[in-house]
Amino acid sequence: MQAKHQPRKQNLWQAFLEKSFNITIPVVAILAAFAISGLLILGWGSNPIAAYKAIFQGAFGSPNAIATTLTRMTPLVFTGLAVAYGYKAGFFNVGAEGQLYMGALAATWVGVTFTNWPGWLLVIACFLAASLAGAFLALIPAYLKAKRGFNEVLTTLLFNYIVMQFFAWSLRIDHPMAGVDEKWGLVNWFGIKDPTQPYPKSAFVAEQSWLPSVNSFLKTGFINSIFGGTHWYQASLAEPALERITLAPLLAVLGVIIVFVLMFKTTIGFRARAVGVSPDAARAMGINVSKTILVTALISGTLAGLAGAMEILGTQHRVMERFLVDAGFTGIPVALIGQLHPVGAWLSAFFFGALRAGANRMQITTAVPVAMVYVIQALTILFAIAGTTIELVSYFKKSRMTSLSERAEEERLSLENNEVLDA
Amino acid sequence: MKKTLVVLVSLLVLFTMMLSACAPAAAPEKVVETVVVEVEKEVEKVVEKTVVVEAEAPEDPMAVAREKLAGKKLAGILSGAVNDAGWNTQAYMAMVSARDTFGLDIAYTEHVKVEDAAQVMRDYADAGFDIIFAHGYEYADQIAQVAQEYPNIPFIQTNGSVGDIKNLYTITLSTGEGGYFMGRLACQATKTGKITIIGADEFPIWSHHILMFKQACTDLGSKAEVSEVYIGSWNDPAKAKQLATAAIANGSDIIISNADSGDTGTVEAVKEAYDKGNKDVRMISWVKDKNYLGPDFVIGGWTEDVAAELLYILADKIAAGEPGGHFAIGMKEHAAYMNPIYGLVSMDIEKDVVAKIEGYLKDPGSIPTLKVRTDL
Repeated sequence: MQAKHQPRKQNLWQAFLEKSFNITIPVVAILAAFAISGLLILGWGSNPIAAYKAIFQGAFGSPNAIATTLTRMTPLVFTGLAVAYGYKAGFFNVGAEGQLYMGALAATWVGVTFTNWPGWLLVIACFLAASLAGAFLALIPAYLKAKRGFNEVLTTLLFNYIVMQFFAWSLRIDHPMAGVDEKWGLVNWFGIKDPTQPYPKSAFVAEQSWLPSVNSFLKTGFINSIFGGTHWYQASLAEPALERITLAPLLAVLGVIIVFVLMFKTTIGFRARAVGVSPDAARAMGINVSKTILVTALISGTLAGLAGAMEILGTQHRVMERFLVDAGFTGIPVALIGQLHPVGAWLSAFFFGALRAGANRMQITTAVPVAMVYVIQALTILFAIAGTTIELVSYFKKSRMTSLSERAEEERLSLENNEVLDA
Repeated sequence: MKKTLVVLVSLLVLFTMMLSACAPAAAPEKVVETVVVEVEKEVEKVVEKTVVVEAEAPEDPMAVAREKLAGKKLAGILSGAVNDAGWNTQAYMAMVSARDTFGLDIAYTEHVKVEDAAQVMRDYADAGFDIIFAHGYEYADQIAQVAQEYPNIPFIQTNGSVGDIKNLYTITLSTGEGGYFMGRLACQATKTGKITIIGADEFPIWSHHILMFKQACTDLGSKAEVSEVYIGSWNDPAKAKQLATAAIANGSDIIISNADSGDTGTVEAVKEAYDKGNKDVRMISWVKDKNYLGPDFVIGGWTEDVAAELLYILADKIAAGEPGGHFAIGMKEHAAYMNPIYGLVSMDIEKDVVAKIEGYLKDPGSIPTLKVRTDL
């Protein structure tokens, strides 16, 4: 009996280790990054504990801090999901930055053009436009990869530069505006600049397209009728931070759930993962690899495009040059530290958002420069990459195979002995 | 193969992040020294100006300002590094001037991205800073929002245009004067009849300067060909060098460069041409005098003095208890001026430009074609 139970216990332990490994790697990576950065801060002449405390306070110490953490993490969740989903199918999307910018541009274009539309319709139209713009941009490299064998890392990366130039150009072309400049010349269709002011930035998108905030939720008649007389309700209404916490972080959670279901519970996701593991094996299974790559790119580009729309409709409400720097590129480390899992990407984006939100408080309080936060991020990525090189799963598989073959050998010998004794 | 690819790309991203993290820290010592020297010069200028004001004014407004501002804390929000030898160096020098003139305590954050700016301002406000200064038009929305959240703290923005928030002071330099007078200088100095203007980026203030630059050439009856090219970045010396090299190869002998740290690339290109025997090639610097980078060929050019803007707002508006609004100052207030020419063009040309400037300062209507804008 004991001989039968022992391997079962070992399997449970191995299974636990294997499962928890995806969580252990980023956690250890983060802890190690903080430990080494702490030494650097000590070398700088400051107290690392005080510095980390300041980061924490800057990220969570006040309603303003929490609002900033949430707004900073939201686009990173979407770009992290875009990269993670793409990679699962072997489509390494380095173009999330450009797709994000195109998404923002498209959402803004709709938001400043159809200013008479009702809010709900305009929001949907903005998201749709951003999704289509991001998806279209990802589709071209995907087609080149699927049909012509082009390396998508290069093509998606190069598309970023094309988009940035187009974006900068578009910001300098007047977009028609009712009552100011209503001429729709051919070039104006591509322009986004607000004609009423000199700088290269768009007008604000129509106010009804701004994502609702916690504050606006509190002001609804239903909530007011229930809590209107309470002290905390009045205090909440006066808190400007609640005006900045919008629906966007909640939509990011929804995005995580949708991508999780898509990735692990649907045929589309299964095909994508199969192609990601081995295109040849997937082809042998009857999966159309080219089509899967195209579909994956569409989904990945859509997610990156939505990141831009979230920033415009939720936070900035207009585009301008460098309005959101590197959020697309940061999606790569977000996905990697998140172990290419949707929930992991959310946690990783949360970590990055909190670091960004708390960085300046650290500088003000402890004189440690903001750049230290980038060192922490970089070290975390380094350790996370190092962690992925540990072949724990294959080690267990190998050891399991060895023990199975040993047991088979023992059983064979015992059978032979029995046969000899019988004889 | 895929794992190798991922590791390679990840390491590339990592390397880029490390580079960006390390960039400010890897500031060359020389630049810092230069900044200090420049700051000392600026302080001297301010002190000189202070003496003039003391002699003429019945009361001493600077002393009043010093009394009101001493010990207060000023925070700066900057888009780049303080040693970029251009836009952000100017802001840093301005803050140092303010510190030395009024006894302020100063702190600043470099490389503030647009999306982070509002929180950085809030952090400073929550940490007890008394005055917050954001340097650049890109922070317009953020500073307007945060100024309304903290109505008791004065906010200052350069190149801003909002004028209806009582604790927000936006200031800009009168635009066009620099373009006109540098155009008058360049179009007379060119021997090949080709001039190239290298800009970091295309923005309204710069576009108007170029318009006035060309206007000056037209007024002179010059047929010089004026080309404008853009780098697309304020921190790209390599690309600036490429553009300048191409312009010189194309026959340009006057290069105007307004690209912050990119200007060092322009200087390199001009130096190479100069060393190869093209002794007529000249560079005109912008924002501040960069003759020290190439004494044989860099004309002092045009200064846009952020310190004058900041001191003006601090002394004449905030310390005086004036409400916020949009303000513009220029040559008349000595916030913009021509730097020394260092004998790098003929004396006749220098005399002509100096005389034109003096005439303009006495009577701005003496140059009817010079359109000055204060709304940019």
